[in-house]
Amino acid sequence: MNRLSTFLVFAFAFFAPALAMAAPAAAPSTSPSGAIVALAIGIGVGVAALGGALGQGRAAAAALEGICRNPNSAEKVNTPMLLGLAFIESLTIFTLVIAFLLLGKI
Amino acid sequence: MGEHDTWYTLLPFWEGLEAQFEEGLRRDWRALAFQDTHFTLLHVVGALIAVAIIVVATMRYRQSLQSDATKRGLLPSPRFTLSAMVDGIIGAVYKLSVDVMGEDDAKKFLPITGTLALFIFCMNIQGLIPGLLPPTDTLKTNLALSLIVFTLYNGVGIYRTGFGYIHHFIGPKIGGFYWLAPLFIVIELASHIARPVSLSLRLLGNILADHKVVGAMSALIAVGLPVPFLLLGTLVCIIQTLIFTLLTIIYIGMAIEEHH
Repeated sequence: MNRLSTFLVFAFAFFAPALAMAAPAAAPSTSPSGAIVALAIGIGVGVAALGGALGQGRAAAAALEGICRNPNSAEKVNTPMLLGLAFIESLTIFTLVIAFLLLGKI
Repeated sequence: MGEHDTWYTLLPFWEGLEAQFEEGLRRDWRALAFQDTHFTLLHVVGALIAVAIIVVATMRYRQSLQSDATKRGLLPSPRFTLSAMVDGIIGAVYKLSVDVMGEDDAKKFLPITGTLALFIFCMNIQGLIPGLLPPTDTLKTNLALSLIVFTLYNGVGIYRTGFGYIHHFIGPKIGGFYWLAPLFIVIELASHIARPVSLSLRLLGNILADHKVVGAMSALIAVGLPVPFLLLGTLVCIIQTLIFTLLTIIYIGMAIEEHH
């Protein structure tokens, strides 16, 4: 019984996306400014990801260095590091939100 | 943003229900910062599912605290059940808030911080179940939650420190830099207003992006390929819950600390 329910949950997780992907396709764009907006979305998210990755890389590197020097500090370093990563990431995420807003204007 | 059909839109009476609610509750806002709004009950149903899960889980937790198997809450639950999960989440939130605001205040604010953590987690995790929609991928939910936090920490700060709450806005007290106050008031007001905005937008962006990534991957190959992204999505859900709760705790902790 237990094994059966585990199998069913597993099968659901594997196969249900195929059933659930019933989203209607967006209508093709006709306006001439759509191409520029699409370009802006791509470049904007790319640049934002670049900056966010550089910043997060620095933060994570510093935190790991600190933990390597003093492994006992791992618990205390973790929370401020996560906070810092969240603040850095939120800037990238703002760009992503703007990209989603622009997506409606293509 | 990013709505799609769900299991509950397949219900035969769904459209009638939505039309019925739309008649009474629809508002046409003139000042729209985002796209045109449209009336939908999808996120409300998602939040109601989260509420149902939390009510059942917390009742099980209460039962387990009173049962003899755990010696009336002295021992942790022997199996990883619903009550053990609630215990873990609430314990983690309590530990976080003890570090920030001390034991007494942590106990005092645990009802709001713990409920926020449970509620946001239950809403986030719905985005990973195929055919459900995370209610946190819209500003309607997130802005409400973060405005509750905003009102709470300002109210608590004024209640605790009285007129001294203004010291949060006029800059450093040490050294007698009072002539800098006009500059600091503008900056601090802006940063306080930016807090609920960034809280809500961060949660929205992360959950929406995560949902879109899983959706895009399952559109490519529906079998097998989404599994690593579902794993990543679980991480994102947990971390975003942690961030929202931790920031709430820190804002409250900063508001109630005494200025000497």
